[in-house]
Amino acid sequence: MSDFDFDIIRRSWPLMREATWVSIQVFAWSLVLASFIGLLFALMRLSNVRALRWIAGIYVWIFRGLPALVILFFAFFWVGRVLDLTSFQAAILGLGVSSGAYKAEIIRAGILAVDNGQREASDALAMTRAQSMRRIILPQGIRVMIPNYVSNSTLLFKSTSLATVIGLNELTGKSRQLANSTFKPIEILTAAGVIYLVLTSVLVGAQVLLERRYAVKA
Amino acid sequence: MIAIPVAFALAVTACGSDDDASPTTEAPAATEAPAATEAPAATEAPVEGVSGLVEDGKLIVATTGNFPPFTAINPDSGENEGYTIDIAREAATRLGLELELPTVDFVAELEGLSQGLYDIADSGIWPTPERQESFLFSRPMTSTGIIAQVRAEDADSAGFADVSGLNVGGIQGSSQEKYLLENEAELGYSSYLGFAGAGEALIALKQGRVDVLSQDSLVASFVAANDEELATAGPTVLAHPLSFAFQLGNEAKRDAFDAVLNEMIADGSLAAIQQAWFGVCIPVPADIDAQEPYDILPTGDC
Amino acid sequence: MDVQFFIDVFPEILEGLTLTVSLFLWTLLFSTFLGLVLALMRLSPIPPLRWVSAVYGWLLRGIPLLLLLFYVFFALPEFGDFFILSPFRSAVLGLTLWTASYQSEAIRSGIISVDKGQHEASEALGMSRTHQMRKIILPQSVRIIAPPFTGNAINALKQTSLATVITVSEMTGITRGIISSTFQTVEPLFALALVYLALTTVLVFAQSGLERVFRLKT
Repeated sequence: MSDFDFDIIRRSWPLMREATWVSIQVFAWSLVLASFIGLLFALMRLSNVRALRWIAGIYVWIFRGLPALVILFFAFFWVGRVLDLTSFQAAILGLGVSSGAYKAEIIRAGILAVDNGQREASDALAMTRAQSMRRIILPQGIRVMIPNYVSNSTLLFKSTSLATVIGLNELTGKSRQLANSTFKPIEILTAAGVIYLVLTSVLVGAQVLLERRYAVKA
Repeated sequence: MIAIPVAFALAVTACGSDDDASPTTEAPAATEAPAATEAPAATEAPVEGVSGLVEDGKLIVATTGNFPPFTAINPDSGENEGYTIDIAREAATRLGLELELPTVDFVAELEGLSQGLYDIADSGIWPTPERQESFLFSRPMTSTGIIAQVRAEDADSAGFADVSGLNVGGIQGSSQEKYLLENEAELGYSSYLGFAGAGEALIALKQGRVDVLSQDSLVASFVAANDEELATAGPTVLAHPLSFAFQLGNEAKRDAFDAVLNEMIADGSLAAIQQAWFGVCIPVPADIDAQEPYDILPTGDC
Repeated sequence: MDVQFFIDVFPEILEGLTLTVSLFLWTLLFSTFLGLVLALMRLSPIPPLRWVSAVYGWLLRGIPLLLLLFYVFFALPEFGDFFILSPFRSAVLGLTLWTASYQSEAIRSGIISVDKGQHEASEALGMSRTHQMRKIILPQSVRIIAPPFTGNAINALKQTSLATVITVSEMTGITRGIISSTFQTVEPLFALALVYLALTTVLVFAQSGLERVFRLKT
């Protein structure tokens, strides 16, 4: 490491910048998809209807249990072949369904954290279940969800790297390729690490703001 | 069919060649053979509609772009380049097709090829009988072998004959790794480490975590020529051909490609590409099924 | 799919099982401990402790695990022979440091979910802060911690696959080896996925067990 080669980073920068943009786009779309799936399945898992609880439980079991790499592989080569998806779209689909399973559990834990008394109080006020969820439970649960939700999203951002297996030219894949082409893995991967750190810092910053906003006023 | 052992001559490091067994004559020598083996007519009249292309007018060659000097990304241009890339480019031109070079992970390269997303997978593949059950292979485009890569101060060692008690390494899943693991008892090394990529393996070699890497001979010579801290040692073992892969059942496409390869061997343009990437000419075996053992001959400058 | 081949690859993949499982168990053990320490530091009244924990979380959640493993394996030895760790230990160290940053958030969110009134009540009873934490707060938060904690543990299990980049050839490394020698992709990947699913299923059962034990009696 004594002879760290900055020049190779400078030369590789245009390619890495392009790949970073691909990573950001895949991340943003799959976060949207994962959040939607997560909320849907969290509510299903807490539902009174047994069948819905089971479906959601099985979804979480399977998609948390399978390696994202394998999910991506099948999203592209099986589902993607039928639906004619590009590797970009298949990456969003694969990462979205995989991360959605984690998000479902995080959201469920947040909802469970809200005191039962709150639920009873909103019942007493003759609120419907949907109303009490939207107005009472979720806003309070968010406080507990934030740390895990952001953690998991930083993880999702870094998982976009797995999409290299389906031919997506994202940051980690491009970096690994550059590292092996130039025989300078430490330099190239350090540069990639700094890019990831800068970008996830945005998420961590958002976390701090959100936590402040939803902090309990004592 | 195992006609031409001489074709499996190998590029040992440039220094191994006070033997002027005229590689210049060797390359053409190898070219006469394929003309005799298959599709001799095709050499005359190629082009005219390659059948079975994934997309009309295009030759889609999937590449991993992480295996210099065969296929690697050039950080300055952002383009993939290397020995197999140059061959693919020349072949596409001669076939009158537009070349497309999707860069993919090697697992995706294989799956994509077998699903018919790509016409060809490059990356310099050893067409072993096992692999021939899954894919169709072009005629060989070079020969290579396995050699010990060492730190420069160990350049005088006997290579694999000398690894007893040392820590050795290789690239995970490679034929070079397989060679070490299958001959563990005989070689007597003390430990083996398998690396995910060549970049890491070379750092580990420089750091002294391993003393010897089992490498593809052409890659090892390329590394030694570009990095003064590293060298190759001892003789090359397990000579074998390298080919391009096609989807099973795509004989017509493969034959059209083979015809162009034969043409390139005959007119010396393949030798020129070898000269550009390896600095030497390497005899090209005629037949992928020719298996060891062969005499391994060093080659010199073109 | 070639069913016979699919069955045949299992024994070979399972050769890496012991390695995967021991990587995971050591990581789970150390990262739970470190995660708890970091979570308590983050909630401590002493500002420097909070800052150290926050910076740790930002940094470790920000960089890709691949890079961290690289640094532990290739860069740490530059600081002296003492730091030359075996590939296995390097992998456990890297995985632990990384997973702990996620577990600390899971634990922290569980702790903040416990009602403020509980703190106040236990203070009124003259309990020390440590005493409160051990007897009142942590037991109540386990139920809320369990889903995201298990999610992170499942993730850690799957991330052990990256140890292959520092030469620890566990199940994923072996699978890639099979793919490159046979050139068959679907069967080995499918077999690998099933092994991971089986392993994570054990964790999912542990999670529901925990949730049941700590369920609030209403």
